[in-house]
Amino acid sequence: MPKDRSSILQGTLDLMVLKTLEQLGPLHGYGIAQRIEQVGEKALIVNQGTVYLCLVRLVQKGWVSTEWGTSDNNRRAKYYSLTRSGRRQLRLETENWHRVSGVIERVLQPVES
Amino acid sequence: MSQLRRGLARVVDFFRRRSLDRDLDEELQAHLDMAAADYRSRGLSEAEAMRQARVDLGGVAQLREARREVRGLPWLDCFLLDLKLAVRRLRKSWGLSLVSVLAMTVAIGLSTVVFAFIETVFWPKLPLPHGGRIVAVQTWHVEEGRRHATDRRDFDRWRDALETVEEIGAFRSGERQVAFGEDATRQWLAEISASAFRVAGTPPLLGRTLVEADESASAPPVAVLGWDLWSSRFAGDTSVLGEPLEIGGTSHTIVGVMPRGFAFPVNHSLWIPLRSGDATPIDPGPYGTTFARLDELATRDDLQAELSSLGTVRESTAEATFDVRAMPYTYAFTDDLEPSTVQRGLRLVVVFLVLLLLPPCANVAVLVYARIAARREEFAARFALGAGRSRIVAQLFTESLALSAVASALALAIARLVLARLEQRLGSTLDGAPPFWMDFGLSLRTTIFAVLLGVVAATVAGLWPALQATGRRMRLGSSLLGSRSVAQLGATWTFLVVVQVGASMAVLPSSVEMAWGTLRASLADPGIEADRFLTARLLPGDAASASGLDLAAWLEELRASPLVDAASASRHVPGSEAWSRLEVETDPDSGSAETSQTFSARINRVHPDFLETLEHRQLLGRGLGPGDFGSPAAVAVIDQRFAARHFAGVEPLGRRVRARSGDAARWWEIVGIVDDLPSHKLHGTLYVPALPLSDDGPADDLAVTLRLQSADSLEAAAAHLRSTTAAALPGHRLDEIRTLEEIYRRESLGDDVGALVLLLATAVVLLLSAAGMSALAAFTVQQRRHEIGVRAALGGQSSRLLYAVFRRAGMQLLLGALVGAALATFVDVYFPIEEAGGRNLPFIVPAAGALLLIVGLTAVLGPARRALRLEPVDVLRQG
Repeated sequence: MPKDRSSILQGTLDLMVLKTLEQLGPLHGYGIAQRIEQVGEKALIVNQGTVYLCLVRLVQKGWVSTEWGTSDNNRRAKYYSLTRSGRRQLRLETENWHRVSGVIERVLQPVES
Repeated sequence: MSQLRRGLARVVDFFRRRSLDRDLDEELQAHLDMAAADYRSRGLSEAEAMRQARVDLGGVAQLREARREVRGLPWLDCFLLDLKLAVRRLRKSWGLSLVSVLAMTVAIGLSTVVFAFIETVFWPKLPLPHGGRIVAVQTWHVEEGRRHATDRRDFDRWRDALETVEEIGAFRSGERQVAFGEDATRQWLAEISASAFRVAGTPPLLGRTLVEADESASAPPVAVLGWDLWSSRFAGDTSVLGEPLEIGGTSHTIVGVMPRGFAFPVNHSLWIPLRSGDATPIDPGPYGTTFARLDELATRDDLQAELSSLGTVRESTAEATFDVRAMPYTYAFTDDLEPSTVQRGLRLVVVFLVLLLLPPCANVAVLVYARIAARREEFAARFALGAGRSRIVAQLFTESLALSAVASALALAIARLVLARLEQRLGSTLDGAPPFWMDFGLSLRTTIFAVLLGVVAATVAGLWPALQATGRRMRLGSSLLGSRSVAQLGATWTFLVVVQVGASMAVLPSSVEMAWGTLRASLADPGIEADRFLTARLLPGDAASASGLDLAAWLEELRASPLVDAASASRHVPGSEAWSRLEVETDPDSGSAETSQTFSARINRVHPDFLETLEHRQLLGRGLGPGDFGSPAAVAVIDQRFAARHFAGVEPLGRRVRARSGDAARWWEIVGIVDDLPSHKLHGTLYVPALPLSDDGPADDLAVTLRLQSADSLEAAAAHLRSTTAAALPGHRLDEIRTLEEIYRRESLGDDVGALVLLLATAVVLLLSAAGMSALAAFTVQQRRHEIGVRAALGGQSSRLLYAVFRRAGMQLLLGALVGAALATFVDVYFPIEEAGGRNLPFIVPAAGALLLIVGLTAVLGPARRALRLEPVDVLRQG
């Protein structure tokens, strides 16, 4: 595993999972983990197991709902989809992320001499 | 999703955890299959593809554990697992578990029984509508601190003047002869105000209740039946209304029947009006009281303020002042105890009950600690694998909780049995039934009390040793797995074992003497041939029959049989005398009529020759002669027990004693002392002449006692008694024909049970001592294994080996036993056991010491044999 990969904080994983579901629609856990790896271009360490813990929390909070379905390889799998409150939460988290990352970006800018 | 919904979701998930685990397994398997398929499409082999998929996913078991932390109730999962392990471990050391459960059951059981009794007697709620607003109003003699009869003028003033009450009434209890058709019997009834039924808020089942018009002196006599009486005597006949019922020789018309369960004011099933013209004072409880229902907005304090301003018509003197007090209704029947006094006392009792738990639990803690210390390698390994101290302590605490839960359950079962017995006992002494507000079932409050005691017991017996055993030294020592000296059975624990031994030695003699004194009457010769005495109760027939009773002639006919040595009559069957509140004159020469504190004793009104018939030995003075019956001079004879308890160091002859019953000051002068009957173990008996027969028949109940020539003629004598009574007293009948031996057996049953419980408790204390000594010895052997191995290898003799190993522990135990013996001797000398109903046994202290020595030696035998069987080579090899 490349040495410059960083570990994802729990809150950011929630955001990425919600965004993935918004973009791709109902998806199983493996699909979500693959998507995050693809988008992150393997720059982020995602222990695939942590995605399932994240999904459990999101279901508990009511932002994601579940349904058993059939996968592409004809296998029974649990599919996750975004709920209305999940969409609302995604919007809030995205706004928050932009605000915070903007501030951090400004702080990290070199000081003009 | 709100916190509440998340919480509820966790609870639901807890109960669905198995199906959720199956779902997760299926989901993860699907994930692995998909990942493996992807890796296979990239050219990996099947095995390699699956391996890589597992690596990417991470540990499935850890994932399942982590998921449980997020869903469900992980703490409950943990607890259930600990409980399963605890039960397994307790079953493995069943001996220790049994001793611990026994010890805790005795302590929790005793406390629970006392608490349940207190709750039933002192904290009941009146099971009536607005029961919390029903109060008693009583007149009190301030200086003597006791209740007094209430003057009828006071009651009439309260009825007219009190504004803080909605209703007020009064009652007086008594026995009357009631004729149910051909059958007549003495029946307990209440003369009561019509307002009683409104105060109680209970409508009749049939007909009507009493009304104010019934209280008028000129109103026709009426009666209201209780459901029990209506069912048993009238077969539940609904046409009973309007029927006549002869009560005390007067015909009353039945006007109503009350519903099942109604027994206001106490345990009554028959009510007649309390006449308004009657100036007789209203007796204080339990034979009567004034009661009221507070106004909706008024409190008892408001009523008290009103009563204080109204005062009482009783004139106060320098020696006697009276006031009027309002109190919760049930306190009218708890003797001369005021709520504040009772509450204070009860709080102390509850604290004492909790503290009662500490000694046995501390003893169990010693055993638990020794066992924990022996498991040090198990805990050291768990520490090394990352378990926290709290996790291990939680597991150990759960083991104790399992033990105390069993003890609490057993204690509740015992309490249930005792309460049932108490209900029976109270019913037989309180004219048929306990007060209607006393519920002898196990209440929620009692159950919670037992459960809390179980938690306290588990905390003392389990949590404390667990914290000690997993302390810093233990945790540091975990790095030296296999080290032999990690835990110490320190000074505190050794001290507890020594105290345990000392306590056993201190209580053993007194317990045995107390138990023997109680059981002796059942097991040993009672001193008289109790099976030679035949007794029976005589139940009078109707008023006409009663007025024609010629007692002397009847007894003469009974004596005429060659089977009968002697015959006499009394109010109560010997051995079943009534209890009465009495007081003695403290200084007859002072002229101040000052009396002692009121006390309880048995009292029996007897007819001529009674004491001779029972073969009482005259010890001092004289018996009751013919001149004492029917004369104005009131004399009495007391037994030895009465003299010892109430005239210790004072000459009883010539002293006066009286019964406390309202205002009646019936003084009797003591003229003689006789020996005790075997049933009178604790309280004495006062014998006074029976009241003379009146035109209405005997003023009291009658019991006959026959002294037979031989116990073999019992059947024939009983037949003679029946036939003579039928011929001489037509219309009368006999009831409860029994020998004195049967009566003693029945009377002593409760005491016998108490004595057996005491012996059981003592046996448990001894067992705990033995277990403590065994644990101490076993631990010593474990700790000094290496030393024992070296000594054995060097050729040490067995006796010297044991002496060297057990010397210190033995000295400590001997010290405990000596201190205990000194305490036992002190108690024996300064607190005579016979005053408490026990019986002195010679050499009891040395005998108890010898027993303890035998028990101790037996207890350490096992560890001593283990020490001698240690193989030096094995011990030295283990290091």
